[in-house]
Amino acid sequence: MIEQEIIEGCIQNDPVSQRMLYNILSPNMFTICYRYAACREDAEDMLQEGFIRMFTQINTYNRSGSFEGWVRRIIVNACINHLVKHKKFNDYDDLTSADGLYAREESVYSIMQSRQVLECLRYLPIGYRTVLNLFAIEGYSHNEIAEMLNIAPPTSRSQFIRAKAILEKILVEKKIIESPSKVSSLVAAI
Amino acid sequence: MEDQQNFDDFKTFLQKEVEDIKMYPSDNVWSEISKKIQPKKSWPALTIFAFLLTISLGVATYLNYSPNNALTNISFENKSQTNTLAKEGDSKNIFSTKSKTSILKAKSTSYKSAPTLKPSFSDKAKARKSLDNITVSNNHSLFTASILGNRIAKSEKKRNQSVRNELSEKNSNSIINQLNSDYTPFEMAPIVENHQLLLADINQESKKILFHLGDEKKQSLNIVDSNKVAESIATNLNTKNKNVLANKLSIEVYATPSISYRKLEDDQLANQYASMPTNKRNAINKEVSHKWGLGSEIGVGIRYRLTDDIVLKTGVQFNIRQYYMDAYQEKGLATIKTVQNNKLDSLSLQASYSNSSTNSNQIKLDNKLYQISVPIGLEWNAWKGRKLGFNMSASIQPTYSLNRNVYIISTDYKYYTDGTSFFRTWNLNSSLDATVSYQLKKSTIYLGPQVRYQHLPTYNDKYPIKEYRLDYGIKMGIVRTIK
Repeated sequence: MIEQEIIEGCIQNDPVSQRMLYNILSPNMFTICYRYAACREDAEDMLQEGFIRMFTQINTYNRSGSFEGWVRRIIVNACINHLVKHKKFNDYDDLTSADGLYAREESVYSIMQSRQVLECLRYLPIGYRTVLNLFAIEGYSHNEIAEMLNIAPPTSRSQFIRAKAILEKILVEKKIIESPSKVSSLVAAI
Repeated sequence: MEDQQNFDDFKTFLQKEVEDIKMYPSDNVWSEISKKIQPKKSWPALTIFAFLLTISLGVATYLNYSPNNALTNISFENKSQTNTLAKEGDSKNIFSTKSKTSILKAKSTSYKSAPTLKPSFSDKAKARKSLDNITVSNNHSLFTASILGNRIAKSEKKRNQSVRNELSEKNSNSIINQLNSDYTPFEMAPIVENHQLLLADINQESKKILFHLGDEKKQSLNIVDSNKVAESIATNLNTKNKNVLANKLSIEVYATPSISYRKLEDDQLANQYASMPTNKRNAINKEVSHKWGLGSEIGVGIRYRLTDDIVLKTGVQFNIRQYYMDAYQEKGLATIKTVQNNKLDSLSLQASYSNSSTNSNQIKLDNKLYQISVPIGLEWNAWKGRKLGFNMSASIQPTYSLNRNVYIISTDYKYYTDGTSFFRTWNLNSSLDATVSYQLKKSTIYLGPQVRYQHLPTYNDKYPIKEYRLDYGIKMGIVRTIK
């Protein structure tokens, strides 16, 4: 929970409050950016754009909903804008040709499962990954995604289905799940 | 149905897996964000400098040219006129019926003796316009000098002592008397004072001219040339007035190589809140290893001589101030405890340098500031010999820092981290110096020790460790009078 005092300080353009807010929010927000970005540098650019927009628009925050949720929406929009601006959204390479999966296995092996899932997610082509992120994790509808990405709703739907199939395949290959049907049991275990 | 269940499970699985992950961006992300969101402050130093300079000169001019001073000067130069004025002024009946009667008499005399005055004073509106500009101006000098010229011409003809008296006293006073009759006391007061100043100068000049006219070689001077004489008088007066101001102004260029250092104080209240061990509280100066650096000041200024011994001065100055800190290359989390409204806050910043370490390489961090300041001060000429002099001066200096990238130490004294967020851009300094001066042909050079102190902490009030910068330097400069 972010203290109201910090938010007020940010509205007053107080540098210390801004730094505090950044310190509190940046770990989670950077993870979001990392899910959308092609590389860490891109993720940092997205985070930077998102935070600048958030700080400049903070006086429009109406205090009714969750502040973190409000920031999150701004960050996600910054990510999408960055992808569209740099034309990375149209990258739909077929994942099956991504041999690097095995090459990176050692580095991924030692980290926690959640981090593994994130890394697996990042093996998806950016186009698929974006739709998967927006629909499955952020909870946007296909119509909203279509509007955000300037595509047709059926395209969003089909991309999600493909992305889901590919991700499940990767997770099985990584032995994070045994088979797609086992996801239910894994969720229950969590 | 099974597909929907499968999808829901997949969604929940993904959300659970990725939501708890925390990743940390690199340091420069915040640096870039900070640069963008903190508005660039426009630099108002030039405006402030111009404003202060105007005020300073205005005050100095007022102090030197106030009506009281003008009257005092007249009293030395033209006793008879001042006595007349004083008598009238003391009685406070300068515009009484009695006075007015005498003024009217003088007026009629004046009309007879100086016909050139008549048209201008007969029309009150014209007279008012000319009186508005009656301060020591070119037109008025010329006008009055023209009257004087006519008088001089008459004196040439008559070669009579009575004319000489008329020029020095009666004629001069007749102008004031004429004005008295046309204006209220309130309107007349400044006019009379200004006019007396002018008349004092004219009187001196007229004496010189009359002396020359009396010379055998110049007796052939024609009446027609009287206007030229008048113009010459007016020109001389204007030149003299300009020189009076110019001789008081001088410009100065100086440089002060200095040893630049700082004084640190830790906020006791913050220490208590931060639960710092008692033995460490306010031990900041023992816990850090800092070393002085070489700084400098370079400036240009303008000086205005208020009295024989006091000089008002201002200008623009560029400062470099720095000191070094022993640190070690070691990454960590710097904790800054801040106290706001008696409430403790904590800010964790990523740090790349530690204050103490056994394994890492030692390096020196440079806390360097580039500043612009506008010194405003006074100089006292304590002693003045034939060529040598001894001066002491003091100034206050509103100061603007051009850079903010400095290092601060965490409140547990463990790490050095970026202090940009806490930096105070505007500050106030003061300086004291004592110099020995030496008079050259056209200028004066000086040399002497200087101390400069920063009054407000380098960082804002939220940062509990207070840093006050100070410099010890040798000031050297050259002063040249504007002529």
